[in-house]
Amino acid sequence: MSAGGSGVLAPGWGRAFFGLTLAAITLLLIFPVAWMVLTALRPASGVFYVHRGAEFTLGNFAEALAKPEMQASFVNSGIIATLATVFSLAVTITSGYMLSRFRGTTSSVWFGLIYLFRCIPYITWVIPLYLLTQWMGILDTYLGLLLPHISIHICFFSWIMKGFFDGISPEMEYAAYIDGCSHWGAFLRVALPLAVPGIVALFILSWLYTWNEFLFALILTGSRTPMLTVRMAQFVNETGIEWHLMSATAVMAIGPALIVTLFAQEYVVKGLRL
Amino acid sequence: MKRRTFLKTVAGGGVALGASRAVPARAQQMELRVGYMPHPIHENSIKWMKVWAGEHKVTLTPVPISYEVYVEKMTANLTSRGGQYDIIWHNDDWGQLWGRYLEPVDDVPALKKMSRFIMEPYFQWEGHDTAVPFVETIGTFFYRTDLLKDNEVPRTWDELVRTSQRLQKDGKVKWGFVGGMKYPHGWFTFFWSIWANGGDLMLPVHERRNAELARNGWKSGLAQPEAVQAVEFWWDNIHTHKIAPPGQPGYSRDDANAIFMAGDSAMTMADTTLYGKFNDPKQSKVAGKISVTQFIIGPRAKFKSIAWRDPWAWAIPIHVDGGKKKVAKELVSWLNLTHDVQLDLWKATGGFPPNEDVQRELVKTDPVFRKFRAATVESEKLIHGAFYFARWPEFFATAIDYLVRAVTGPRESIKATLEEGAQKTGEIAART
Amino acid sequence: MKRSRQRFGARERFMLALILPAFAILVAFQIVPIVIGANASFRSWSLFNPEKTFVGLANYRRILSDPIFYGTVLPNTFVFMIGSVTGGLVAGLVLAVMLNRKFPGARLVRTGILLPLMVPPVVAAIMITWMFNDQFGVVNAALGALGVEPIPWLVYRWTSFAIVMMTDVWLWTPWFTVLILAALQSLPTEPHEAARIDGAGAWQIFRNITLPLLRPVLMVCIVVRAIDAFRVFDIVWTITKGGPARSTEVFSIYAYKQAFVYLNFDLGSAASLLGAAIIMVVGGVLYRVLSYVVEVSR
Repeated sequence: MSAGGSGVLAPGWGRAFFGLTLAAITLLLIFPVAWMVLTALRPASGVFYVHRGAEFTLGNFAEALAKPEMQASFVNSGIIATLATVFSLAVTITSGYMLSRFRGTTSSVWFGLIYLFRCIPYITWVIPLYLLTQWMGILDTYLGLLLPHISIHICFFSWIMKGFFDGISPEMEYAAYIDGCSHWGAFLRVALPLAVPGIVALFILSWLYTWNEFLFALILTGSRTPMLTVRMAQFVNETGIEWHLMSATAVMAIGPALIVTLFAQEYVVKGLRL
Repeated sequence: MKRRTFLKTVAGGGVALGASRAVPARAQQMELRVGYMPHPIHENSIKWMKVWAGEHKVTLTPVPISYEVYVEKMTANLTSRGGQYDIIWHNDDWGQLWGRYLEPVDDVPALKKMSRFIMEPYFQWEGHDTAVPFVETIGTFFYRTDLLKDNEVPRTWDELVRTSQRLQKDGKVKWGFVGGMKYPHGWFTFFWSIWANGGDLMLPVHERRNAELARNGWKSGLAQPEAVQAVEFWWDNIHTHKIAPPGQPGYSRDDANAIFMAGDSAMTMADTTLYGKFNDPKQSKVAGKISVTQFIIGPRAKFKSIAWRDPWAWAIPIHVDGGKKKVAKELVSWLNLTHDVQLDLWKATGGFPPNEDVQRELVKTDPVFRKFRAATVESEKLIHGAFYFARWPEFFATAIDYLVRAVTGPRESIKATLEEGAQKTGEIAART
Repeated sequence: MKRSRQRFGARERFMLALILPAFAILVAFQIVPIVIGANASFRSWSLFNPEKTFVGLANYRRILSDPIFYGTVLPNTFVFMIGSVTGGLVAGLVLAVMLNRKFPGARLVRTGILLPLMVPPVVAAIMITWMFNDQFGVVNAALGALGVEPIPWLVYRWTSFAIVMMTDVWLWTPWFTVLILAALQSLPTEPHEAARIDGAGAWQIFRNITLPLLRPVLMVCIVVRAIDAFRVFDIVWTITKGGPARSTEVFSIYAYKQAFVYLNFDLGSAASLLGAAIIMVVGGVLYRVLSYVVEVSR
């Protein structure tokens, strides 16, 4: 049921054009990542002139994994990404629904706040955030990372969720009210299922965003909660970048991201069948 | 009743654990937390710290901090009295920044074994020493021994150009010289050439004491003939003589090192600590084929040799508790007084051990060290590779901007660009 | 939409319940830190100097009168914003429409195009920087195989700028694609079926039915991305650090250098709040303009 497409393509030229354009765009998007995979497979002496020479090795991966806290950082990043996504989706979906269905002062104020904080760059408040979490005693803990991440997600995704709900006609909810459904009932059983594609999209984007997020992980963690992106940054030191290790780690980091993306579509949908 | 209380306690404990605020149980042994940058030299020092800690019943907790954010994070920690670290890495650049937050270390015995040169003026605050060096970092020239015999190694700028052109013409190597140029890696091209030509970034030349610089009105040295000639030298190297790659104004030191290690350049300029990396067959295609030589001197210099000599040090924040301070001081002193530690530093990482007794011994027993020291520490003139006033970071960034702009523009505009640069940087310095 | 005041109880409670948890988190972890940070912009405050004397608007005045700020940084930022959002939108729209069909391997391609988002932006930017190195980069190697002289990409302003923009488009096209595709999949099928039965062509259907229905999501995507593009930092810092000689500097780099390189926390704060004010106005104007354009094109 592809509403935007036009069904079957004209055979021959139409299909060839479609295939070629799609292939071209896809290749352009994939090429830098593929090149990075190739880089990670070259020995340290071959990570710069990658196209020169043909030695390959899996040693970089082994060496990177053996680095202190590397494995812990994979685990931590995975946990934080998942928890942040799940919790923030809960608050973001409701927030977006509210913005879409309700007009009036509260709605405008809420929208205004989200908009405002969307616009203020991180560096204004990243150091105060550090001091705040230190004062609250949650610096360098899961909570200390989760809560700021959720607040970022709220700003990022409420608005987009609003857009999705705007595209869904409220007629069905009115029908539900008339049938005697409560507000929550209408929301959960009528609006939510229609917004599933949007929610899946947000799940994926949200998870990937937190998995790859650097600034908060850097500022708000120390030695007790190693995070993957911070660990990767430690390959940059005063004499240069250990690129063979950094690229190997980045390639390994694609693994969990790929798995989540591939399976989010099924499991998020199943999870939402309330 | 009992079960309910028990369950409540378990639940309460679960909640507390869930909030991940668990405080580590072990607090009997003294714990020293060391904030450092992941780097082979630091890791070497920490390795030895752990040895000492084991013998003295102290728990040593190394806390790595990314180089990218080290200064900001550490500054925030010091100014907020965060107490996360008991010993911190202290680069010479940050002396004036952190001086007031550091514990005076005049009473550390190891300091007597080191050259005073590497302590002044940056590790001084209100008349006290504020940090204890654990390695000397020195810039030097690396060259390919398979391309240049000892007597063919260039000593002057003219020799560099002629030798490079000859090697390139014979098809032996792609480029004569490559070095980092892009912010913040100005040392490996612009700065060394200005210094080697008898100039300096500020006037009077070679002065680093803030009081003297202030007395001279914070005059920038960027528009002096020595500096202008140095930038013209680079412009020519890229466009006229073609002995350096055209992409060089955009190179970080990683780019330059990569080109050298791939064998595409006959010479490069880098910290002595890169020796290990350049010589590692796993990382470098020129392993086993390199040696070091002194700075290549420019036409206006009135001396035969020059080098910069600076340390990395361990410092102790002033708000650390008294008992820990004492132990920390013992530790950093031990690192520098212990023969094996100092020797291992050189052998394992290529870093110069600050203990001068050990240096003298190495000169006699290790020909590689002898060559390194002759090319650097034994130069006729020794300077520090940076300045130590509050506005230095801004001065430094602006200076490099103008230098890059000068070298990527037309040759005739170099002097004018540098004059504007000198004015701007002078203003910045004066705002201290 | 009924705004019935009699049913204050249930409806209003529902509405507030929808946003209360989000609101609490936002207050604690955004509002409070931002207020503290904003406080810094009105004082003379260096990270290493403990005094924090109040100086009113002096910091703002200094920044607004800095020729680099209004002459280089702001224009760069706007050019970047327009180029990056347009590129990402067009590419994302085309890709989403194409992926909305059923064809063998569709799910794999839909996952594959997300690869740019699976790598930390900084690492991807480092990879791209080295791909464009004039000596060892694959781009010049490929050009060399075609007989073209190596180009020193990162030495000149506009080639550097082009690389930075291209990297941003590369990074965000998948984001546009995923969201537009989701929107396409939520669209009601009836209007499209009706139009097809009426004999309308593919392009007409797209232009007159699909596009208007996509409007809410498209507008949000454009404005959201515009705001983020204005604040871009990571990739510009990684690839050029704002160079050569500050010629590719954008506003967030300007603010960052002030706060964390020069350690002028006061100027950095003021610069970033100034930028925030600018983007708030720009974002609002953009939203209005887009709504107007859409109304007119009906």
